[in-house]
Amino acid sequence: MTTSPTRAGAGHAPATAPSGPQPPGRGSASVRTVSLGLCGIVLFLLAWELLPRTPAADPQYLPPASTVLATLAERAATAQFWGAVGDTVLAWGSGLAIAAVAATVLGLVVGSVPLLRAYTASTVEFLRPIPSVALIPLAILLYGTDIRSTLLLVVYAAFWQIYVQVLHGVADVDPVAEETARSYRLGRLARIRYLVWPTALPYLLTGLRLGAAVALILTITAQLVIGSPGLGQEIAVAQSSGAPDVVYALIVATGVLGVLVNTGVRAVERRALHWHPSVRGEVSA
Amino acid sequence: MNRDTRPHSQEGPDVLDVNGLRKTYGSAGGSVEAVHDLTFRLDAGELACLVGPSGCGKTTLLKCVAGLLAPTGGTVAVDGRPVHEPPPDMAVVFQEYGRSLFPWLTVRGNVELPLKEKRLPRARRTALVEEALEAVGLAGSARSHPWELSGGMQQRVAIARAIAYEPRVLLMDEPFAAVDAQTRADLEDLVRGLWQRFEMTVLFVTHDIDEAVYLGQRVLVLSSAPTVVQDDVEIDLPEQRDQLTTRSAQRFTELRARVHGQIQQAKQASARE
Repeated sequence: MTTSPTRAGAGHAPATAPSGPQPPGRGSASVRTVSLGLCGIVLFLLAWELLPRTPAADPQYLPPASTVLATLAERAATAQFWGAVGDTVLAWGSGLAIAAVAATVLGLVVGSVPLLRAYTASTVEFLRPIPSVALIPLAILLYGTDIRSTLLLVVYAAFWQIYVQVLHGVADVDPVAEETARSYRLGRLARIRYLVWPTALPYLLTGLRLGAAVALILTITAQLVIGSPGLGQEIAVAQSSGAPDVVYALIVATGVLGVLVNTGVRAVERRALHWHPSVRGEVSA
Repeated sequence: MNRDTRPHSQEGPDVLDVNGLRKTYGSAGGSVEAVHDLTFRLDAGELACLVGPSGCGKTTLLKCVAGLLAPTGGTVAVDGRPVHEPPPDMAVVFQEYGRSLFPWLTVRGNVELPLKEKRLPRARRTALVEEALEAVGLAGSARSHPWELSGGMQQRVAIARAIAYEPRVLLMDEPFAAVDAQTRADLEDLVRGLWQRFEMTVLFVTHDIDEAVYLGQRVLVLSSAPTVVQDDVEIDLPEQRDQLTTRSAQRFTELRARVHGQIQQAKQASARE
């Protein structure tokens, strides 16, 4: 994945937008985007509601949306559900954090030393495509059903996403900016802090967004397959007790978690990258 | 070549001394000589322009002088101290202002960053930043980001950053090549004003003959391939210059013709090789 740090421009106003009169149509355009999005969700739920009532689907294995949402509401009132959500968020969050810190530090160091980068490139290209799920047996051997099993998978999967982005970011430092920094006698640390870090930040955040999604997938997978506590394990339990509506409700819950994670990272991106062309939008000259 | 017999226009020691500078770029397919043998000196407080046909190694020369590039042969000295890395009392203004300024910092942040690295106390930094921004006419834009400003204003920010650094030597690498004609005229007058006000030694690299004659006390003409100082023209125009009267003066036309002639000669010489 070599996704560049450009985001398809949502209709949000950049943090530094001048407070003058808004160009006509811009505010209403973003309102329209949101309302179109809501329309889509309503249509989807409607289809889901109606499909089980037709002969095309068996309501036992595809309960209508209303049933699933009611089950979800019911579940959401239990401590067990929130305990599972907490376990999932904990495994996901700490795994992502470990991966992010390790990938950022290593990426900055390796990216700044061309020789090191050349030496490690082929190894990285070998290790990176290994699917994290292939490590499940190893994780079980090492840590059993402990949270550390989940962490191993999550960290491995998220690390590469972020690491590769940081490497790209470090390589993207503008030569003129680099010469400027050197001509003003900025030392190595100052150059990393004031030049390399801000240049790599958009890449890092893109990596973080990709890594966050992968980390959530691996968290749920580990809980499903290994049986460490969390939403994934709850889904497995619901499945074995023959409660499809609970399975669906929990799947919806993981989906909501994914949306929240993505929204969160995007909010961080908008704040941290208010100066970046992808965020500052029409303000630029 | 009259570079060593030329009478000094101002009394003072050599602040910049380039001696026998040579730069060869090595590559797998052989080596390319960018600068052959360059020797010139600048007195303290001098404003000299360096012109030459395109591809004659102006940027290479400037990077060697700035300590950003190690020369293959010869020496560069600032205030008698040999240059092996960017010297502490020198600032560079690059042509590509948009890439030289940091978009994640405000105008103030950009100007202040080198001063932080110099470990100046906060009060002193603030005073220097404000003075520099006022001097380039951007006192009101300190809190903007560079990309919110026009091209000419961005180059003013880069100039303010250089001024605030309090350099003894200011190097400018075709700084106005990317701005429109009117902005360019304003910036030329700005450079002369700042040079007089802050008493720096300025080496201004340009490919524009008119600009060189208008700005400089001296114009060094480079020949291309091999790059040597072909001529060293003293610009004996009055100190107070004005876009309209100076450029239409008889003497301006004569000097311009002389520099132009030298550059044509340099081109023909290199074509004969």
